[in-house]
Amino acid sequence: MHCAVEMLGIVKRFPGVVANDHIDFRVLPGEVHALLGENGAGKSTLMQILAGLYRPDAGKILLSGRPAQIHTPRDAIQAGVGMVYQHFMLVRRHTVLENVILGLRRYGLFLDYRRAGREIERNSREYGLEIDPAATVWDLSVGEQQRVEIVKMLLRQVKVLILDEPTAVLTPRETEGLFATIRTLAGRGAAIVFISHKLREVMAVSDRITILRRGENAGTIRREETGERDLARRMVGREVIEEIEREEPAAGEEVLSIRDLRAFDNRRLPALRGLNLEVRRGEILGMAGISGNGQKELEEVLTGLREPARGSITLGGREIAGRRPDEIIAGGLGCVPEDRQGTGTAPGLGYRDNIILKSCRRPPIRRGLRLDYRAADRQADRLRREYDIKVPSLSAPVRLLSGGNLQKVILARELSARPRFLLAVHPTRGLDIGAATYVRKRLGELKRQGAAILLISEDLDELAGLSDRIAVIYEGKITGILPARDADRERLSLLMTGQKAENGIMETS
Amino acid sequence: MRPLTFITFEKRLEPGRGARLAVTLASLFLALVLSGLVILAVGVNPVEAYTALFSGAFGTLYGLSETLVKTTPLILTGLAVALCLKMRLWNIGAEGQFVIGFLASVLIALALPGRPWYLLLPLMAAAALVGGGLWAGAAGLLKARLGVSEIITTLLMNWVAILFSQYFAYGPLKGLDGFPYSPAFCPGACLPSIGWGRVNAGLFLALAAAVVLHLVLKHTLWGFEVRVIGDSPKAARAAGMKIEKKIVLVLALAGGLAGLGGFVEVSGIEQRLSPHTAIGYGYTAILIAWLARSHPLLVILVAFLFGGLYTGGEMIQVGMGVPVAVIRILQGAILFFLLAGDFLMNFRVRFGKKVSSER
Repeated sequence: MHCAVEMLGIVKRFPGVVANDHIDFRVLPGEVHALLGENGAGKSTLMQILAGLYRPDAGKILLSGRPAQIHTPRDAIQAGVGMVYQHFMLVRRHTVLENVILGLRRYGLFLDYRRAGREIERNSREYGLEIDPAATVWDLSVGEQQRVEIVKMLLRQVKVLILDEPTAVLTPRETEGLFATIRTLAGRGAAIVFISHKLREVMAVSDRITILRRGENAGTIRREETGERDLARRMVGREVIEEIEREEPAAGEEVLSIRDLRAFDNRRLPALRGLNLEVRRGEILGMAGISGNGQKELEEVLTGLREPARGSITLGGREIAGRRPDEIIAGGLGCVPEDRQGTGTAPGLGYRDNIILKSCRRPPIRRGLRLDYRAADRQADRLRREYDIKVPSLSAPVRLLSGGNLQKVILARELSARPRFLLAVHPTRGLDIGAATYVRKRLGELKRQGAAILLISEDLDELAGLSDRIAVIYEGKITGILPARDADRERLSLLMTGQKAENGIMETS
Repeated sequence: MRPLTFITFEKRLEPGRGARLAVTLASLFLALVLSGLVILAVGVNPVEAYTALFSGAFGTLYGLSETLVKTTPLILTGLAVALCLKMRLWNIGAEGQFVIGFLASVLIALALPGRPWYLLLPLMAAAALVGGGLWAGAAGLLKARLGVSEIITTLLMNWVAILFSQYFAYGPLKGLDGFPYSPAFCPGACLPSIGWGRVNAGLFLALAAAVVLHLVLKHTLWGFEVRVIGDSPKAARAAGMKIEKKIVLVLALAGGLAGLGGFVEVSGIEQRLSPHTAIGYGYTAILIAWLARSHPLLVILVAFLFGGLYTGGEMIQVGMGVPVAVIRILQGAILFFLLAGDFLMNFRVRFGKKVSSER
């Protein structure tokens, strides 16, 4: 029997990274094949190549044993490959029926709506995908929209269906429904590729599992031959964390304390579900976790950009939960945000203006109603030298700066305000080694000066190298806090996927 | 995400100052050519028409004085749009704010007849400022609180303002002779002439407003925050700036400026209420602000050019029988080419197939 899909020697490079490094990947007809890996392991890229969104730099694709030329999503659909993306491709103002038949030719010039409606209803009944063809898409829940996407693919008669992290947006109940649909589809001979980093779901639904690690295929195994622990180990690799010289924390007093914090995300689903944490003076608390487990919402709540639903946050003893950003900043918060171009800087404004973004409300920059731009220039110039920021001029728009220089602008602004507490989110992501090392050095210095630092990162090496303690966040809660010296990858990766390790972990109440 | 096959647009990093000027001038030129075709169609030589337009507007002392008369309200409405554009808000309602300022001035003038100028003029100006400010501030409040697009609200409120003012002209303030005109103002309610045609003290008020707005934007914390919010609302919010409050304030101030435009027009020129207070100064203001790149001092210059267009347009209508609508066509064409030019300035156009569309 031929494989439904054979991808051989696929290479895809993006500027600065090799997303797929000679990957071989085979899917059989009638199987549910999970593609597992950490963020950035190359799962989505590989499948977007199969779906015609990207073209590989090398390698070839065979469908049912025959070489396939897939250059566009339309080619892929015609070859029987359909993908349901994380961000749905639906026209929100149109009905389900209109969305489903969009691009289909077989309903004629004058669109046989009745026939299309019947086909949609038959397919959705058969596969347990309950949807109303007459509903408008923007009235639908995320789960329902996902069903529309799947029905869309069914009416295109795809033989290979790729689902990119389909459960990320679903409630547990909806997930169960989706799994039932997936099994029915596979039972009728379709090949399903299920992209995920959730071990439990992978074990629950798939027949075989392929693990990607840093752009390489780290093995394909049958579900019966493995378990969650084994998968976790394969996913993160077995490398030992290198030991970095670290000073023992001076165990200072609590600076930031979070109690039973709850908040919703933009979809009104719970994102933080009773989070507890404290950060002490002179310590770096690392926060590990797979992205999408509440980190973004935590950043927003801490900086005053998102209203918490419940709970308390004290900074230096003063309650800041639900306060405005300016009040929290005045209370001693500094922040190196995840989103550097947008939240961290005003990209169209000059370097000088970005340096005074926060200090503009206080003397010496502010003098009554007036802004002292000469004092601002002096400050910007001093920081430029102190942080070795390469800018063409003080007024050059910062969006022209490189990633490393942009991050230095943010660091210079935030650290020069001498924050009592600094929140740093993915501070070295995407930076070259030199800039990343510089950022880490500065964070270490700030810690020695007595600040409390919360470092949210996906880079386990960085967390282990910089932090004094590492907390793991999973589904909006802290699943465990380990002293950095006890934190090995395996234990962290288990906590990151929601499982408690047996010993040596301080549970937080 | 299928690549476009024939034409692709690539984002450019930074259009230079020279490119901006060139695009502006080219837009003006193309607009003149297009409108020239229309002039040709009504049987007039476009070159002669443009020459007459230019010399009519700027070539004689009388023409120049009339141009300045039109420049005065245009500066104020132009500032009203420019200020909002600085924060990426589209104030399409300068027309209505102008009318409200006009009406508020009329009400004060008629309520206090025969009072001295030092009482009446400041009161009328204040009423126009507050009236226009509240009118636009309402749109600001809707935007800040509920996220309602200010483009829609400010535009729709224009009709409310215009009909409201017409109600007064046809109703409570109708003249004793039955015509829809209010009684004329007493001398104390009129801005003094400077002794050159109809040019009046309102011109200095408009110039002062432009200079003050420039200084506020350039040198104050308030102006800095407007710039930051205009560039990146997210960064502004994260830095602790109060965006909602600023939206309301900026729209209210803009409405106040346009309202002042209504005040200088009624107190300096019209000196009574008529059903025809809305004559497009608020819409022309959008063009002025865009051409001036929302710089207050450039607004003065551009408003002067557009004042000339109004004056010259009237002159060629009388002198050569070219309908004044041609001037509207010219204005529209300028905006059209300018927007197209801005697009070309920010994107590089390539013909042929794009290699890939990577993120």
